[in-house]
Amino acid sequence: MKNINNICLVKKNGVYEPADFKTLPSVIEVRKNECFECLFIQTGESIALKVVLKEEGASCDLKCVYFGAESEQKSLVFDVTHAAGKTKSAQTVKGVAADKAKCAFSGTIHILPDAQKCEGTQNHRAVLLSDTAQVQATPELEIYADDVICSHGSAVGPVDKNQLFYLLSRGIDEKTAYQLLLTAFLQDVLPADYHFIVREWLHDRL
Amino acid sequence: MTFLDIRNLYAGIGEKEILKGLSLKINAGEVHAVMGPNGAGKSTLSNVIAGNPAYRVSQGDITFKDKNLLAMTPDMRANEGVFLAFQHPTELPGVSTALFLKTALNAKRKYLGEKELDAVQYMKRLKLRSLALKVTDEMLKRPVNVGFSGGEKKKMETFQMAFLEPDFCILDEMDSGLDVDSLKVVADGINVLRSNTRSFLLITHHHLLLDYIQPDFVHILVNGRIVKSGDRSLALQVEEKGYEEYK
Ligand SMILES: Nc1ncnc2c1ncn2[C@@H]1O[C@H](COP(=O)(O)OP(=O)(O)OP(=O)(O)O)[C@@H](O)[C@H]1O
Ligand SMILES: [Mg+2]
Repeated sequence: MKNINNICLVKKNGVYEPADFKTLPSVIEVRKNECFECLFIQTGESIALKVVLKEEGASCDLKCVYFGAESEQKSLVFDVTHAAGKTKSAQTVKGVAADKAKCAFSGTIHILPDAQKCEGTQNHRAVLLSDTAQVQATPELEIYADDVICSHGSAVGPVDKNQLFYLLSRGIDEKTAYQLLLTAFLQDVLPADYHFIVREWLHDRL
Repeated sequence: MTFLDIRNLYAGIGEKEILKGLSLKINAGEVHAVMGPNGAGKSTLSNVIAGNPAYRVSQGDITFKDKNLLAMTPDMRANEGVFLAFQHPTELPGVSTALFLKTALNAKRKYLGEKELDAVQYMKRLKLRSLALKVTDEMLKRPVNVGFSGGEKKKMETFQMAFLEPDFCILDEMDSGLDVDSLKVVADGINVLRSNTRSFLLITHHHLLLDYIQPDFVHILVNGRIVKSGDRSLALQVEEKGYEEYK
């Protein structure tokens, strides 16, 4: 399923709804006390999203689950600008890379000089299913205001061998074992309705 | 019928040789206990039987019901009837115990060409085994082994074993970390599984477990080999005198 299209979900009235990425504006501007929330399921090509928090109280919550396999090379770019005070942003990214895939995440948090009392967080975690898969995370924090809270973190590593063996030792085949572990890893970002993607994506792997 | 037949097994981790010419034969219906000092290779033996790829086998062979066990993947071994209750059970955050049990049970049924259990049969089986081992609904709702105390983890391992009904059960220090009441519950849970078509390998440091679950044979494992085999009196003897004479 390597050529499958990305899924783009945008939250409306508290519910994620499918949206066409191509129809989103090239820069998403968030106004006073509004919140832009989206979730990408990146099984396909590269994604770049630029968000500007224009007015006080604006916020955004950007999430992505990416999958890379075979000789795919893809990137995810989240670029958030805090242009006003008391704005909030969160970036949560989880990825899985197999075979010889090269995946890159670059997340920018840009806080302009007058944007005091802002909060920006970024969290990236990825699992490598092979020794030849590569994941690179590049956080960029450009902060020109002094009264702000910013944090970022990234962790990339292989599947836990003990966990995998525990499942196998109960008679569960390797593919299903990976499916259980990856679904568990992704579940705080990936809604249950989309867990089937893990199974389908793994179907051609291993 | 011979279940497990280990002949002249050499195995270890990386460069380190841990098992050095171990032989052991277990027939259907038998209960064998293995005792031995820390680091003797008891958990290595159980992991090698279960097929943990972290261990390498350099010599010797293992058959299970006359099939070449070493040629099988770990999941095949489990579906052929091998079960290992781990000395240190692994936590699986985010994997619900209920889903895990169902997946494991259906994997085995599929392997044996049997139909999946329907919801009613499944619940019946779950209830039967969880009641016997005093596993609560709340425990079943948690992710596998996550947040359980040491003793509770051991109880859950035994419960999984009872639920999956394997033919050959390895229990690696099932008694460590259990309070006296839990030990009895777990021992009872194991005793009801005893039958002439199922066998057990109990690894323990304590004679007490063997009072509850009376073994047919006791083996002393020292420095990667079985150095002595006997009946239950051997366990008492070891508890009194230690392993000094075998080293
Ligand atoms: N991953 C490892 N790397 C290096 N040495 C190891 C590793 N795992 C086990 N060993 C060593 O192998 C030897 C046998 O270990 P094993 O766990 O089989 O002992 P055991 O008989 O089960 O001991 P215990 O009674 O303490 O559980 C020990 O000396 C141990 O330190
Ligand atoms: Mg041990």
